[in-house]
Parts: sequence; structure tokens; C-alpha cells
Amino acid sequence: MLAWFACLTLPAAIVWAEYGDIIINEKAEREGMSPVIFPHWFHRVRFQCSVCHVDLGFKTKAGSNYITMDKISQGQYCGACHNGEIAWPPETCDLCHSGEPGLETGIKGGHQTSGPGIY
Amino acid sequence: MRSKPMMLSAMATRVALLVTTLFFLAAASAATASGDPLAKRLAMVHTLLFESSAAKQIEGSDTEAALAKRREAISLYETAAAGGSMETRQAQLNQAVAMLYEAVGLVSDGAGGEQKARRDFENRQSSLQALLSAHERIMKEKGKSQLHTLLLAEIEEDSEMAEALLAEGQFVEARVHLDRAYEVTMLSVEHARTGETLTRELKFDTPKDEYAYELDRNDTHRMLVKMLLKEKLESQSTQNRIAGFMEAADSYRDMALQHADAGDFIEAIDALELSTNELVKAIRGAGVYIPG
Amino acid sequence: MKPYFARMLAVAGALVAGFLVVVMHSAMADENPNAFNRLMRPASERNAPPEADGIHDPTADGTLMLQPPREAFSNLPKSRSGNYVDWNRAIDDMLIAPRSDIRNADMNAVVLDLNIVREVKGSMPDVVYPHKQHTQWLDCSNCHPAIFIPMKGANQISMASILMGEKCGVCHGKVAFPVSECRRCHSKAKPVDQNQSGS
Ligand code: HEC
Ligand code: HEC
Ligand code: HEC
Repeated sequence: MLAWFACLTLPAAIVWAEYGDIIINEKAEREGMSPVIFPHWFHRVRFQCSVCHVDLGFKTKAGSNYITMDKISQGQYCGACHNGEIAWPPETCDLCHSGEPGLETGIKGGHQTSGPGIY
Repeated sequence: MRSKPMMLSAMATRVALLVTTLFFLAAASAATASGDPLAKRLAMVHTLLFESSAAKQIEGSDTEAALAKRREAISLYETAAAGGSMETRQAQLNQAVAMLYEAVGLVSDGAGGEQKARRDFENRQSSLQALLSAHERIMKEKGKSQLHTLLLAEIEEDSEMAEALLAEGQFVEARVHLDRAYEVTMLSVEHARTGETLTRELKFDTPKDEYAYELDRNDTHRMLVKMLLKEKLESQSTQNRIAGFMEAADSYRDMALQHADAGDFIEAIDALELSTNELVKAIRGAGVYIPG
Repeated sequence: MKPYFARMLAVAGALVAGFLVVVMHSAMADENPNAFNRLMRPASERNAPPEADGIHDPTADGTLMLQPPREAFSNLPKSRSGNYVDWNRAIDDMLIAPRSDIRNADMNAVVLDLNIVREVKGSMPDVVYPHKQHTQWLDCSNCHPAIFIPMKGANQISMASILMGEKCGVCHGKVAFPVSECRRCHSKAKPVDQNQSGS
């Protein structure tokens, strides 16, 4: 019914910036590391959404997964792939911890989902 | 032809950029001359060894093997920090990281992993239930309720097996059975529905349902006024132009709410439609065209 | 002492030069009030490489090792919004083959070819929801039952809720094309006589 609102040229008030990078900075910076930048677009080229959001149990809400390095090293979350078998192991810290200081968790250019914190 | 001042300023910009680049290069080489090129890497590994969740988990445990592994990792780190050839130091740091990961593997065996496996299992289970109830409806619609009963028998076997395995803490095996039950159901739904088009008609069972729909539509338009007109509303003349529409929209909506309170949903729907129309006029009046 | 001095000099120099760039840039911007695109960013500025995208730390070694998005997108079909890639065509044209299994590259996921049409009030075309394009990426349990109850009539979906990031808005506007692309969803024209009903 109402989705037309921007079939017209977008007014300057809404800027649909590009998206595809997710910043995860729930704990990283507090623990002395740079924020994590997860290139979502890079991974969807290689995997279907369900691999991460069902099989590996990543909830579809930025910052809602409570990821830590001990979980990663135990093969959970990023560590399910970044284990030296499917993808490079979590030794090169700054491939993931590559963010500018002070960034807030969320998808770049988008807005935080207020949807349910489910798969 | 570009105008002369523009060319000049473009040139100046380029010169300035060049100067910046040169200075940055100088800064970078100065940094390498004075500092350790591995300084950042050292700091990161230090964080992992001393401050990370992994380090804390090992420290908080009394597993001697893990504690020893961490000490070994720390001494490797210290050797690397002291100096040597780039290559050896890098290798030492990588090994220290790998060792710490191994150490945490010794203490956090299953910690958190169990919780997560359980949560993932439950999520999958609720999806299976949702699919099963859809399956039941589809089979009824197609006059094939027997097929549903048959499938259910097969699925229950796997489901029960999965639950039993979960209770024993065999998460991986439990998931295999649950996933199989899930897949069978999904395939059956896919088989029954493929190539179809279902239409959710805009028919309302009761005026109350239609009222809820109209209320949503009105809410949406209110959001649109805020989103689309955010900048335009900074101008007083625009504000004046749409003020009348907004007031009318509000008063129709108030009327609708009163009718609804009195249980007269038909009147309430009419009033809401009028209110939404006023919002459309406000948006158009501010210069953004939207269909009605 | 010497390296310290060199660094100080370099930093001071960089500051001055940076200032020059800013001044020059604003002078230039002042000069052309009639630039062709005033608000829309030119395509050349989309999907900036990591070191220039404003979120990656350009001084981290890792940043320079990452793949710039434009390189990855160079052979993918374009779209008008989001990250300007038409991801569904990319799959259909077999330019990418995202795995449905973490290990097994050859496993095929079940694709459900089922359209749901949702009628809407007003002159806007009805909505077609294609399960096919969604199940090429997702599994039933991504959405059912946490986002949508798989039952006719069980889901109230309003544009307000989508704009708030619920229902379709969980993904659309975040990682899938945004709701500004009205016609991609409102794609089924109504029979002419119905256009008069509603507002
Ligand atoms: C390689 C794993 C992976 C794949 C594949 C993947 N995602 Fe994600 N997704 C993530 C991670 C990680 C996050 C961030 C979670 C966090 O911050 O805790 C995320 C976040 C999200 C979010 C939340 C964004 C927000 O603003 O909060 C949505 C929605 C989402 N993904 C949808 C999808 C869709 C749709 C696909 C398929 C096209 C997909 N994902 C594919 C890993 C993945
Ligand atoms: C595969 C990607 C990846 C790599 C590689 C990686 N990390 Fe992380 N790290 C994460 C994510 C994701 C988080 C969660 C961030 C948050 O929530 O703020 C995290 C969090 C952390 C934290 C804070 C939470 C905790 O576990 O204590 C520390 C410290 C940390 N990482 C250190 C490191 C170090 C040191 C390295 C290199 C040896 C490293 N990480 C490599 C992805 C990675
Ligand atoms: C489903 C598997 C999977 C998961 C889960 C996963 N990754 Fe990856 N990731 C990959 C693969 C495969 C690559 C490509 C590896 C290669 O180039 O060798 C990759 C590459 C990357 C890259 C480098 C991209 C580039 O430009 O080359 C980053 C950064 C990254 N992952 C971060 C993360 C973080 C952070 C997480 C967790 C939030 C994560 N990944 C979870 C599979 C995964």
C-alpha cells in the first residue's frame, strides 16, 4: 500500500547509504582491541545466509551474539570457519580488528534492527 | 574551458595533496626508524595473553596443563618482544597465539558451547513445529490428511531420538536427527506447494480487523510525514501550509478512536480513511508526491 | 632525539598540508554552486575501499589486505540501491555460488517456488512475495516462526513495521534492497475497476 514513498526521488532527509559492513564493538575496544569489522557482503558471496544464521546460530541483529575470542578459538561463531581449515585462522588479529576507534556496533549506513533478536 | 580560478585551485589542491603524501611518507618512515615494526602485533598478542576472555578463563581455572601452556605462550611472547629477526619473531608470536587457543581449549571444554547448542536446538525445534502445523493445514486443504499422519509417524521417531540424545549431551548427533525430521517436512511442503500462487485477499472478517488495518495505515502515514518532510518542515511557510491538513488529520483520528471505543468500527474506519487522506494531502502540500 | 624530531616535523607538515587541502577544497566547492549532482553521490564514490570508507583504520596492516568491495562487485550485475549489486541475478547468472553447507560446496538447498500475493488498499499495486528468491539464500527456519507465522492471515505486515525494522524490514534496508525500491515488491497491478476503492 504505502511503499511508494521513495519511488519518487529520495528526499535528502533519508540517505540510504551503502551497507554491507557490520561493526561489532561490544567488548573489543573495552578490552584494548580495535572494533571488529565484519564484511557481510564478502561472506554472502561465499555462503548462503542460512549457513550463518541457522546452522551456526548467528542472531540477525548486530551486536546480539556475545562473541568472544575463547568462543572463536573453540570453533564457535567466526571460529566455525576461521579455523585454518575453511578460512584463515584467528591469528592475524587486524584482519578482523580493523576498525577506527570509537565506532558503535551496527551495520554501516543502515539502522539498528528493532526486530526480534532471532535467527 | 574551465575557468582560471578553478584551474588554479585544482592545481593548488593537487600540490597540497602531494605535500601531504610526502609528509605522511616521512612520518611513516620516521615511525619505523624509531619504533618496532611489530609494535602493534606485540600489543595485540599481549592483549590476548593477558586481558582477553580466553586469558581470564585460563587464569580462573585450576587446570595445570592449561596454565602451563599459557606460561609457555607468555615466554614465547617475551622472547619475541626482546628482539631477533623479523621472521623468527613473527613465527614466535603466531605460535604464542596458537598456544593460548590450545590452552583455552583445555579449560573451556564445552563451556558456553553447551548452552549455545541447546539454544540452537530449541530454535530448530520451534521451526519444525511451525512447518509441521503448516504441513497439516496444507494436507487438509488438498485432501491428503493421511499423508500428514504418515509423515508425522516418521518424524516423531527422529524427534524423539533427537531429544534423547540431547538429554545425554550428544549435541551434534541430536542435531542430525532433528535436522532430518526438519528436512523431511520441508521437502513435503515444497512438493505440495511448488509452482503455486496464494493470494491473501484484502478481506476482513470483522470491521474491527479492518479498523486495525486502517490504524496501521494511518500510523505509517504519520511516520512518512516525519521522515519525508523532516527538512521541509524547517521552513515556516511549509509548516503553515500543512498545518490545516495535520489538524484535520488529528481530529478525524480522534473521532475514529472515539467511535472505536464506542464499538462502532464502521464509523471509525471511515474517519480513519479521512484522516489518512488528510495526511496524504499534507505530504503532497509540502511538495512530495505520493499515490493515494 | 633525531627520529623524534623527524616525526614532529612530519606531523607538523602533515597538519599544514591537510589544512591547505581543506581550504582549497572548500574554495572549490564554493566556486561551483551548479555542480550537476548536488545530493546524489557519484558512482565513483560508492563502495569505497576499506582504507577510505571511514570505518576501517587506514593505518592497520590488516586493512590494506582486505578486498575492496568494488573489486568483488566488478563482474556482478548492478542494482540501484544498497551496495548496488543485484544479488539475485548474481545467483541466477551463476556469477556467484554461495554454499548452503559450510563444507560441502556441491550441496543444493531446497528451493520453494511459491508466490504469496498480498492485496493492499489504495492505488498502490499489490505485493508479490516470492519464496523462490528467498529460499535461494535462506532456510525456512530463518523466518518461520520467529518473524512470520507460516499461516495465511496470521501476519499483519504494515509499512510502519517494516520501516521500524520488523517483518520484511529485518533484512530489507539492512542487507537486502531497501524499501525505497517500491516496485520490486509492489509489482502486481490491480484490475482497473478496483483502483477506485479505498483512499
Ligand atoms: C558468514 C556468515 C554470514 C552470512 C553468510 C550471512 N550473515 Fe548476516 N550476519 C552475520 C553476522 C556475523 C552478523 C552480525 C551479528 C552480530 O553483530 O552479532 C550478521 C547480521 C545480520 C543482520 C543484522 C543487521 C543489523 O542491522 O542488525 C541481518 C538482517 C542479516 N545478517 C541478514 C543476512 C542475510 C539476509 C544473509 C544472506 C543474504 C546473511 N545475513 C548472510 C553473518 C552472516
Ligand atoms: C575472525 C575474526 C577475528 C580474528 C582474526 C580475531 N578476532 Fe578478536 N574478536 C572477534 C570478534 C567478532 C570479537 C567480538 C567483538 C565485540 O563484541 O566487541 C572479538 C573480541 C576480541 C576481544 C574482546 C573479547 C575477548 O574475547 O576478550 C579481544 C581481547 C580480542 N578479540 C583479541 C584478539 C586478538 C589478540 C586477536 C589476534 C590474535 C584476535 N582477537 C583475532 C573476531 C576476531
Ligand atoms: C561460514 C564461514 C565463515 C564464518 C562464520 C566467518 N567467516 Fe570470515 N571468511 C570466510 C571465508 C571462506 C573467507 C575467505 C578466506 C580466504 O580468503 O582465504 C573469510 C574472510 C574473512 C575476512 C577477510 C575478507 C577479505 O577481504 O579477504 C574477514 C575480515 C572475515 N572473514 C571476518 C570474519 C568475522 C569477523 C567473522 C565472525 C563475525 C567471520 N569472518 C565469520 C568464512 C567465514
